[in-house]
Amino acid sequence: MTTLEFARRKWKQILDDTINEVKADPEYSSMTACDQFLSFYYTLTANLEESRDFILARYDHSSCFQLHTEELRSYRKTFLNYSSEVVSKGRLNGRLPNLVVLNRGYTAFLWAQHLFIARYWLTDESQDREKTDALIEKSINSFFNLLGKGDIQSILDVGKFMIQNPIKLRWQ
Amino acid sequence: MMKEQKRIPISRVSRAGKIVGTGIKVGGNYVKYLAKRSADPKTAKDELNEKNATEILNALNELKGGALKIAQMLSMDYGILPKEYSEKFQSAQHNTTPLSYPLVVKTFKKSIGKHPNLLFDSFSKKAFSAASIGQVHKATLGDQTFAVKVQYPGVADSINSDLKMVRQLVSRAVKVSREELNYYLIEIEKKLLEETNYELELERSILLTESCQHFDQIIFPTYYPEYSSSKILTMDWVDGIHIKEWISTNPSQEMRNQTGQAIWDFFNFQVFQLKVAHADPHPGNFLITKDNQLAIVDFGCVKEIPDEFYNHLILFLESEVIENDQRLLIIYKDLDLFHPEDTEDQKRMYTDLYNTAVRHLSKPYHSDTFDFGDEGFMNQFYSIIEGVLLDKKIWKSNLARGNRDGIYINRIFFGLFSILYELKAKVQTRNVLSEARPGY
Repeated sequence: MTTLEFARRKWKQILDDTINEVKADPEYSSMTACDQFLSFYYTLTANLEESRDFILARYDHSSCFQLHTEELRSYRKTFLNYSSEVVSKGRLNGRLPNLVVLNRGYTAFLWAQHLFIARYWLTDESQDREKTDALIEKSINSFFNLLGKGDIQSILDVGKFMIQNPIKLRWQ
Repeated sequence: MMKEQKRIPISRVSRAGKIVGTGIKVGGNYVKYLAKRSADPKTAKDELNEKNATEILNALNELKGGALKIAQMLSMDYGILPKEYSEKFQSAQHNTTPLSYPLVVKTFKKSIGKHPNLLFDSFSKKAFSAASIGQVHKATLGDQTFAVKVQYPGVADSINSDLKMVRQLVSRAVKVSREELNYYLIEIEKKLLEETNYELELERSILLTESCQHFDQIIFPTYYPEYSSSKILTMDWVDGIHIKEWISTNPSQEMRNQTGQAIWDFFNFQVFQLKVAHADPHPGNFLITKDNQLAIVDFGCVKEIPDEFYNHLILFLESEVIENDQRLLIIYKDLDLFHPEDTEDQKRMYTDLYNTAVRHLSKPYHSDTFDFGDEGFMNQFYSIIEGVLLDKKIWKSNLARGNRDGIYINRIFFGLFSILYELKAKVQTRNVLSEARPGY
């Protein structure tokens, strides 16, 4: 198995485990979409923590640019499937407005946000990585606040911005 | 907690008390800032780059914890920041969004190793109340009910950087050297960091409540180390209303005296016997149960009184000292209440000011009973301050004065006096040194 293949599987494994773990929580189905997402992220960062050495060794500096391409292809797909599942269920339950459809703008935003959080976590030196927790709390809450208002344009704008900016800024 | 902050009184009397509380006992410095501002608001305001200040404040609005707490203390407890700002901070505090349930769960798993549902029979998903650095959930196990305080993530981490922002803000508002301001801010920072350490709070809560068990008129919740960690603090749930609400139900004079007496005894016992005291005596931390029993909670902010300070403090309880100008002067010198650069004139002026303040504030300790409902006592606070405010000489000097230990010790006394004033309680006050030690 090549290193790339190994990494690919490792990523996929972490994500699958996380999604299964989150869904196994008896309280999960009664949660709001926002709380489901928050649960997902808190579980994910806890699981990533177990593989932190591997991840750090692999993505110490400039190679982080590659993070979202080849190696994460199926990871990305799984993540986006999961996200649209959460959002569409939220819509069915009437907790999110009907006009919310996860179009390309949203998926771009969600993925950018995901990478942003993962990268923040990677460089987070705070105790227990509390700052990542704070970032998750703030960014997921604001995303769902925007969704709740159906304010599509501003989400697309932020998505665009996040794709264009933080990645470059952080690793240049 | 946060609801209470809104009700910080801004009447003349209480404001004066606040200024006395800080200004005189800590030193003339804070009085002077305020004096400068009140006497010539325009100039003082011009010194602030107002637009920048507002921007910083808006940024702080987004933060929970450190910055809010510091700003709150500086603005409300110490009267350093202009009122407009302290109002902004208060509204900011009301806008803080609660922690999400998933993050509460994560905090449990991370710091205690278990989901709250596995620890308790029930655990409220929503917080019952929020404070600037954490929120309180209700949990049950068997026939017990607990209050579980969960801390916001990153609070301790942010205090340092928040303090930098606040420092900038304050140094814009008042002209005092960085070193002198730092001397005081270090004490505040230390206390704030302590408040974010729930393990320390647990330890102190247990220690202090156990040392105070003989006050059988006061209920102290039991604390549970097995359900606590550095981010979580679990104690008995106390069913009761805040003391201010209780006062608004018009309890009898007898009830108010009884409650006031319990509070008086409790605080003086801590200060003068234990030399360690609950240093956050604001109304939100005093609850009254259905049976009119007093409950005291929240030992997050505790001040240990250094021996050196203590030895000076008890001198104020001796009437021979209080009446003797020479002895008082020595105490002021020891407490750094004069600045090396003070002129003879300034020294005289401050001495007069301290004498008036100290003699007034120590009154309750020099009589058998004291009626805190006496408007005259509180009004006298105000007239002392008015004298300070109108005295141009005082605000000519930009030097900070006073020992930093005074900040929190002072907060204890001011908090105590103002609660008793709210209660309009008549209290037996003499001999705190000998009589406030039942069974000790």
